[in-house]
Amino acid sequence: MSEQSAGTEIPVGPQHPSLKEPANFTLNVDGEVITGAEMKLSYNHRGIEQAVLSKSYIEAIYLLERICGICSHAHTSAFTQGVEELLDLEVPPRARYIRTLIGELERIHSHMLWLGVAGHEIGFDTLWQYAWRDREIVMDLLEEITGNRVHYSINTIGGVRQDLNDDYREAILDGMDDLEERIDFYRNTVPNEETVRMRCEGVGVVSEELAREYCAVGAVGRASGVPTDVRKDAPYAAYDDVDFDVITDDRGDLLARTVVRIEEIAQAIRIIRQVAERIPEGDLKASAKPPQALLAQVPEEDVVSRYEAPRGELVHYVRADGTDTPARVHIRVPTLANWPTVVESLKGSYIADTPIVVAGIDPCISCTSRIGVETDGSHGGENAFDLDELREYGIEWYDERGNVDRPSTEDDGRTVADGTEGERP
Amino acid sequence: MGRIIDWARNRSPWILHLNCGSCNGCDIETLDALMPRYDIERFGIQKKDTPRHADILVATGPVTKQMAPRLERIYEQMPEPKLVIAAGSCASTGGVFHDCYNCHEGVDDVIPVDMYLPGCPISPETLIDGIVKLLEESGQDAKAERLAEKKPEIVEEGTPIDEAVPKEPDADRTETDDAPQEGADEPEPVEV
Amino acid sequence: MNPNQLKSDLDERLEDVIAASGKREDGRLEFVLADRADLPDGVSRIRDAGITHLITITGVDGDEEIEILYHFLKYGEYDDGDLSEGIELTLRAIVPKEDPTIGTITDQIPAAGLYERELMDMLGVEVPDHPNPEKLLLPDDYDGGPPLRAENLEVSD
Repeated sequence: MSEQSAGTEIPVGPQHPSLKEPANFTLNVDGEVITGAEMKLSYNHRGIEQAVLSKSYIEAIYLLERICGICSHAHTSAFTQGVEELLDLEVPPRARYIRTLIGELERIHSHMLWLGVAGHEIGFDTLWQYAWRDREIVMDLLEEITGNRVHYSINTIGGVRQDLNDDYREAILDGMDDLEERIDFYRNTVPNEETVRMRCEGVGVVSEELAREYCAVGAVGRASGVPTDVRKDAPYAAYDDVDFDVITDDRGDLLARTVVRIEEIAQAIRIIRQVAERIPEGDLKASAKPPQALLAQVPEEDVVSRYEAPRGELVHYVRADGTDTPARVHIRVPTLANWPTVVESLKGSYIADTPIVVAGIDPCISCTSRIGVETDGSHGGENAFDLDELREYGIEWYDERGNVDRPSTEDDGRTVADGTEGERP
Repeated sequence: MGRIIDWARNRSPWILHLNCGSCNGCDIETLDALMPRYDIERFGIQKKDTPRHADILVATGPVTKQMAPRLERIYEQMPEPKLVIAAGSCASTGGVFHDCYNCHEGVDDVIPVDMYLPGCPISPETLIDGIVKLLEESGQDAKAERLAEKKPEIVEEGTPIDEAVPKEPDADRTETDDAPQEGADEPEPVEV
Repeated sequence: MNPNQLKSDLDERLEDVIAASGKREDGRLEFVLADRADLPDGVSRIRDAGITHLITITGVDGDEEIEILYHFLKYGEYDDGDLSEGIELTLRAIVPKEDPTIGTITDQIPAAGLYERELMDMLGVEVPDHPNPEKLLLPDDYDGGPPLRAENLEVSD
């Protein structure tokens, strides 16, 4: 074993290092403590922004929906809202309420999915099983209302494609009652549970200052005291008709992010109930004309459309050129905005914390599946892991030690960088 | 070799799940099959993390250019008899991404596929159906029969969710509640 | 502060570096930089006005030039669970295609780092003083031109 030396580099590969893949995540360590991280992202780069330019605005909805299988409604809503602004279409209230309903159901399913994944990362598989079981309440409602468990395709340009009838409304209200009981259970037990406290309290801290510097969005920002929420700062759909709170926390650690997401589920239930009880009668679409006719009048203008996806601020920039295909579509997903905070919060964490810190921003699973860790053994352990092995390593490491003191984080001389590099002073 | 083949014949298939550039829709529905409502673990189907212990590769996504070499390598590392399921529209044909510059047109552009599952995304029931049919078609009728016997619980809206969750909150659901599969305790490292 | 008030404030602060400014119907403000060299200065003045959230950076391929849009948000006021509306604004810089370079703003806004890298990958814009100009989205061995340049678009009709 080599001697421990400050600034040992650990290249992290997307697969097991023996496959000789280029590293896409490099950790600088001093023994067990991470002192810096350099992240090279290899996203699911599919070339969507190029492909969408040869699609009509209608076809584009179905392509953009499939950017992500967890927040597909966020993408179609952001896009159609942008196009509606370009066309100066006023979406009728009933349609806006339905969009809100599906959006909040999506938020719940996404947060519960995250809760399960986070549990899995810290070895708390029972939480995974419970959270994903309870998530089925929402999956069933989505399937009943829209016809699909994922990729609901409820949005069209000018409104929505499916209506809500009284049976659905009743089912929704019943479902919310069931869900509320379960969420109360999570609210009361999860933050106090021993494993969660040990693995999440004081771990991966992102200060408010750091969160603002890196323009963190969503629950990550809010858990560090940055109150951003597109539903309030630029209300869309029916959000200015319903009451709800923006949940913030001032601790900035993983526990705070957990609590914020659980509380957001409670707020989502609150919104859904208001929508189901008060949804106004009316049309589902802004215009009786078919979308192709509407698109014949799209002006040469651009629009910035923002939406509060479950993971945070989602942005669709759309530029129209007078034809029925867009000239430019730029999408900035919330995970991209939050990646730099992962790097920063890894500094001063233990290697064993890596899986949960990464999971803490609620990134796409496909992104985390590409993270592997290779070490030179200077920390006294195995010298090569993939993410699953690193998860096991983390679980065993904490099992042996119980509650540990957090490593001291003296000023690490963070240079002004793009947030994906760290250097020792 | 005989012992290995017997072991392979007698226990339920172990699956390796690989995301090849998918939007995660199919991936989450595949993982959902492990969760209490569908609970494929009680059929003995386990999800493995390494290709060396897997019988069936469940691949999702259109296969981005970055993932193609990895997909090939993982396929090569799987021991015979190996089967490949292309789960979802993207894995089958490239789906909505078939004309994207950084994507292949589905898994069969890269490795041979034995079963295509439709859907965008697939549902957990589709996955189970697909596994049963695949085993039948590949001549592993005994396994297929065993699985199919238990399928009606899911397909006919049988098991209520609450009954699928263990009574003790601490119970860890890694064991199936069947009699242990022969040879499943000590998997042979299958290096051929 | 409403969009009109903010626009007056910023018009004054940015007076000598912008060529044009406007306000959209939806309340979004727009400022066009007269000279791309003034980008760091312009951003600094925007930050002085209390605007710190960079939403993202978008590159658009025009005919002779590339437009680079810096989208900002002025946060709303937060009070115990309630949040007031914010104001969006876009700062537009133009770079010629024969010399598609722009200065970095990562020294002022670290969050810009990933967005500038995406710009470099997708539109072939050069940001010479970027602290970490590695490829962000494209594979290292990518041999095509920037995918979102008009000449590289395989747009079928």
